[in-house]
Amino acid sequence: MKRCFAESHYALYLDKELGREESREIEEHIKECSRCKELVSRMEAENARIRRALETHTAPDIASQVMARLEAPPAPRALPRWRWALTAAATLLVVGFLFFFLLFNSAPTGNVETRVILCTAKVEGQPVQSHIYESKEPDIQFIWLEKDK
Amino acid sequence: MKNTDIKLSVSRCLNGDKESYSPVVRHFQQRIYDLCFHYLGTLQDAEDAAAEIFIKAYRALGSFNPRYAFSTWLYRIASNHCIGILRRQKREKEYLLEQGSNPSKLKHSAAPDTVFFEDTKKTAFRNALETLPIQYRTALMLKYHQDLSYKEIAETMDLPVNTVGSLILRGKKDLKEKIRDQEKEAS
Repeated sequence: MKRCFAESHYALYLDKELGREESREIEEHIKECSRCKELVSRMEAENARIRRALETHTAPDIASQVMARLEAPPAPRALPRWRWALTAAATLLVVGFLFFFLLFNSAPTGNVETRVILCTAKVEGQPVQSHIYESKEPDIQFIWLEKDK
Repeated sequence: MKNTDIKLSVSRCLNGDKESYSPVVRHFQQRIYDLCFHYLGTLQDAEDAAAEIFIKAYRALGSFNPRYAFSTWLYRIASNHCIGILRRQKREKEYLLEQGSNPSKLKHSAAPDTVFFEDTKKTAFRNALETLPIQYRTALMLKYHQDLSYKEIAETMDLPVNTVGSLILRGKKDLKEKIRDQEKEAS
């Protein structure tokens, strides 16, 4: 007679998790070994008890409920409060930015020049006037000398 | 309904044919309802949860990989959904205990309609089953009620196959000890 198998092995056998060859070996063994036959019988009864304890009622008609809910249009979801607050804050930020942008950048468009006559002088005997131009870019100034008319 | 028919129905659903989902629900509704009942303990909670699970599954159909069985994918959604409900119930009970309230007043506590076994021994066995850790209970339910293989259980619970074997073995051992303790108390 072959050696007895471990209880875990019999558990796998009863749960039909063993291959055909291993199952056959166990069946051969329990035919000869009364101790293992009794053990397997007890384990089978425990499994049957678990199955019976897990029995329930017949299910209601869940399919109709599910199909009805899938057909119904989805209910409009109210935005959570934090989303309202975030939207309001973002709007305020954009409006504020636009306001300050327009306030401090009210210069007319185009290549703005402000010509200021700085002085009149003579360069190489020729009377000249110096003009200073301020471009729309900050910190850029052009100094232009032209003949005094 | 064969696995190929289920996958065909799923494919039709994804192409906009909502009605093709109905036979899929009918095929699985008993099993999912049973699973929910064993997790949640009341018939009403089981029915509500089962409906939610099928709706969740419908909305997630695009993520179903047809290489695997639809059943294991659905069981996984069902398990996760029920475990989420149990966690929320546990948090509610803990909150009520902190507030000095009686947690048994929660509407989803076990109602008399759960006690439908006339055999008191069966009830004691069921009670012992319900006190097992959730992973043991899930593995035993999927094996001895849904008749899934260890491989299918492993896919459902996202665990290695060997771990499933250990959970079932330890679950049964735990169950035996609890029954023995109950019988000692009763005597």
